[in-house]
Amino acid sequence: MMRYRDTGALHPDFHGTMNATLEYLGSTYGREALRAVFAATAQNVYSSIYEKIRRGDLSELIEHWRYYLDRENADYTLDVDDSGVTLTVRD
Amino acid sequence: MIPSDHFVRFYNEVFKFLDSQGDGELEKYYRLISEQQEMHCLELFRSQGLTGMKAYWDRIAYEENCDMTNTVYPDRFELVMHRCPSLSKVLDNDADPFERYCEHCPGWVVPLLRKAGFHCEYDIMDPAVPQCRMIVYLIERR
Repeated sequence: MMRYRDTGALHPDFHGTMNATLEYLGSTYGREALRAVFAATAQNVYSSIYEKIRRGDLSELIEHWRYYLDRENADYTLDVDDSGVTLTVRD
Repeated sequence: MIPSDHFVRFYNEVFKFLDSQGDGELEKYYRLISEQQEMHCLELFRSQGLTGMKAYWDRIAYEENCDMTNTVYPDRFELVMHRCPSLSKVLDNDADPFERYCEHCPGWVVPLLRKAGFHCEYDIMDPAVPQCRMIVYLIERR
């Protein structure tokens, strides 16, 4: 079960702001800044996914990818087998 | 990919990092965002004034699922946010909210409006409650 499950309209401009933000962080503070912010996001915002992955459980990550890639109309495939999961995003 | 639905929770982590880098670092970032937002808003606000602001924030109300009222009066534009989805998501979050999260909004909006020729009064009210109010006046009319 996912921790977050957004519904309603999307605000795609956020992807542009994301790009500008990452460019700014990287050029101003360096790669370590990017690592720090991504780690904080991965481990704190997505703590339930993170904790499950640490226990070898990929179920919430897979559900999260399916749900949000569908919401964003991504062209992708998700292959799940006993060895793990492979996400391929084409668009 | 960080979904656009989750951008504000990422933003919240960015604010914490920038604040940790020293005084004024967060405000430099707000100016960058303000300059980036100019491509969406500046010409609209300059050419259509208060009506252009209503058009912009009506689109935001839909895309960001806001509960807000946008009203144009002869002398001003008023935005009343009854339930801000941005702060609501940051509060509904496994990561701690940045205590000055709400400041990013006036941080980019006020410089952009000033550049377009308007004066903005922004009332955050309570940074732990997802409500705020913004009033924009034409500078010449104040």
